[in-house]
Amino acid sequence: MRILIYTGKGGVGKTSISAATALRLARAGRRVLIMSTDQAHSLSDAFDRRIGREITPICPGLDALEIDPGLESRKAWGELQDYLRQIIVDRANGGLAADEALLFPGMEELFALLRILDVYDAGNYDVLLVDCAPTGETLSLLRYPERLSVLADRLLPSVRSMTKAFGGLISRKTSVPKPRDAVFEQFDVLVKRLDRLQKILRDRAQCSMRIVMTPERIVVGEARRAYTWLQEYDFGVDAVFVNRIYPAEAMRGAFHAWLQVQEENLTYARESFPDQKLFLLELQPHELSNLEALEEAAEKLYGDELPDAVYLQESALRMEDEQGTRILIFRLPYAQRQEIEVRQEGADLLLKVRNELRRFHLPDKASRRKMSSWEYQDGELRVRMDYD
Amino acid sequence: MGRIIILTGKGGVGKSSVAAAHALRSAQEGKRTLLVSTDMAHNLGDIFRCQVGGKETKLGEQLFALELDPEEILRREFPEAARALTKLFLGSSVAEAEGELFMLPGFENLFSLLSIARLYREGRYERIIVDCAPTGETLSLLKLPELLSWYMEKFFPVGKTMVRVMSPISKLRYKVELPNRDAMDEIGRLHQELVALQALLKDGEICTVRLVCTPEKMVVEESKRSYMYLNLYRYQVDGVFINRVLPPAEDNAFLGTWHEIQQRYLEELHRVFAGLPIREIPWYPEDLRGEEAIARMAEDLLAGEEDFFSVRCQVENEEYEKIDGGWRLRLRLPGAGEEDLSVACYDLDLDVAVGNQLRRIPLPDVLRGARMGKAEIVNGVLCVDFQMADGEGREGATEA
Repeated sequence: MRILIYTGKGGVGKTSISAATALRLARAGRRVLIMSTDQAHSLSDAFDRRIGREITPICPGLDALEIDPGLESRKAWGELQDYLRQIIVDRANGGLAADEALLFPGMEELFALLRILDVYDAGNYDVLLVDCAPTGETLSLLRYPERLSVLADRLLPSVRSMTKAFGGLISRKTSVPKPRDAVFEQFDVLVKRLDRLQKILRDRAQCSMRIVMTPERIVVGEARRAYTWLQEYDFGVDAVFVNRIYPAEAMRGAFHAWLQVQEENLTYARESFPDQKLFLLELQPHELSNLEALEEAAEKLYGDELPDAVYLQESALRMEDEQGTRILIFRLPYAQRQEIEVRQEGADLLLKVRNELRRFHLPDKASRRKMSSWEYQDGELRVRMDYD
Repeated sequence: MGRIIILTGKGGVGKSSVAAAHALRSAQEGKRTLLVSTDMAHNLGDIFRCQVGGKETKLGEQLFALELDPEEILRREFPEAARALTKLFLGSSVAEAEGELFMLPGFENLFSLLSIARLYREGRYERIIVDCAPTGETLSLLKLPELLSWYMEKFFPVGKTMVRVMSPISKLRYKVELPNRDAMDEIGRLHQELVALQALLKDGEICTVRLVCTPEKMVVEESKRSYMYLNLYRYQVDGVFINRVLPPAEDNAFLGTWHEIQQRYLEELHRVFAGLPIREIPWYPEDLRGEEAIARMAEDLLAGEEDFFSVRCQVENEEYEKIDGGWRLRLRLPGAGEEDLSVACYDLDLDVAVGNQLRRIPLPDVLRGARMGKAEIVNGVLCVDFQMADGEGREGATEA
């Protein structure tokens, strides 16, 4: 099964692009499920019919689903929640705030992503398309499995055996009830599932992340940071989308100046995503909120292309540490050393190969450093970053 | 008394520009002003075309800017707690390695807020303008102080005992290093600061929130939810800015169509935010960067405004209380009588009409699937009951 995850800053038209993509694939004979994990669901608006938390058929080959994060979260850690609630209710007056308090920021969305596993295991679809919450939040979520499994591997067995040994004592001393075994078991299962989810999401042959943006400086800027982040955590981005490009004829008169700005920002996007497939979509003269409009948009976006292709398999960057020096390694096949220029501009690393400029937004771990030297060997560019 | 204005809104609506315009104008009035960004993806530097960063940077006579780095704050202000948490979650070897710090997800913002409270207390600035992270994150940030101090009150004394009892054994036998006394003291201090922060943010005389949005479907939906949550957590909202409004374009069919589409959402926004000062900002055909561009936005923002920086309105709050089998929404509606009142519930929206004023109130997620029961006015307070449909246990408190 192919998993395509569409993400991007809020309000860039992520849902429209995802919906158009799903429709396009279904029309080509694929069995497609599109699901949204965003709290503020908008698939219903895109397809102009009520969807909701049950799988809803849209047209032959295409089903849709709006995940109810509350429900998924209950499935994922209800036991743990009940335990916490028990402690809290013992000590507080409950209230709505208490229920909200049982959710840490972003947690529900993470549990929503677990639904990917269910779909994956059931194997009823060729393509699963996920319309994901805005960038910042999505990214912080993908970090959880890693942190939680650290937590589970290190802490859980110890806490469990400690609870076995001293639970009664602590319970008496603090009047906090001793957690039941089910609480630990559920946490263990949860962490294992998150871990599996992460492995699937990292398999570039199966899963591709796709970033949607608009031709605005700040939006492209955020897309670049998102990309760097995804690279750092080894998720594959194989295509990017620039949506809402104002058509030239619409910009006659007062808005003419925007065209130039737009062109600059498109170049900025191209330089920042040189290895990815770039798809462009002009702002349509209507909202994309029915099948016909979506199909038309898909046609303009993809032409004859079938968007479940894997457009890029390799990772463009990896990082190594060598005695305190951080080395960024870029794959740059078929270049000549004398054709390469490398320089750092603040948090950006600029690579010029022949006449092509590539911009890379440095990860936080490297941006406080300065480039000290670089070398080119076996199709790889190695840039050494040191503190001043 | 100083003043804090928090600008927030969905990503990409131009929050930072509006915040920058606020700050620039405030400085022009001769007030010493600090513009602070808490967004992990800072762009103040981009807007003012200069390097800003983690130190207060002077941009003009009275204008200063600061981009907060939560990890830096945690490391500087709470070094023991930071070390203890990193050791606990990532292990001692990682904690010693350079650059690694364990940050609980979503808590970054909390440390940014603590910094703002401290800057306010120091009193070096008359006005602090906060450019806040996108809505989702902001909301979690706004509820964090309350949530955490609540957890702390309930668990901290317990946790302290637990740590004292288990610490020696856990290290020896289980190779888990629990926080030491210094770290626990620091966590205690963190709690004190949180309580102070909460009081500051909820003080409607000092701190208000202004929402930035655009007339687009998705943004409208999210702004409604933000407003509801801000009410739920009792923040004082005293302004709404609708950015990127297209002018009518008779000679341009394409933009004309989009102008029409925007009108629909503008109407909805005016309905949702009825009673709040609303300002529409035109779409400028350029990336808003550089002081000149910001100055122009400030002009548009403030045209005909007096007292722009004072607290501009006090809005009624909504309260939820637990009743048998569900929740009761209590909404202060001073002066309303039942004869001119109508209440209807659509999915997660509650429409409350008083006379010809309609307010659409988005309901919290907990009420998803709930059925609306009776609605009545008691002593100027509208009470609407919601019964939980499925008894899935999401109603919380009573069943455990």
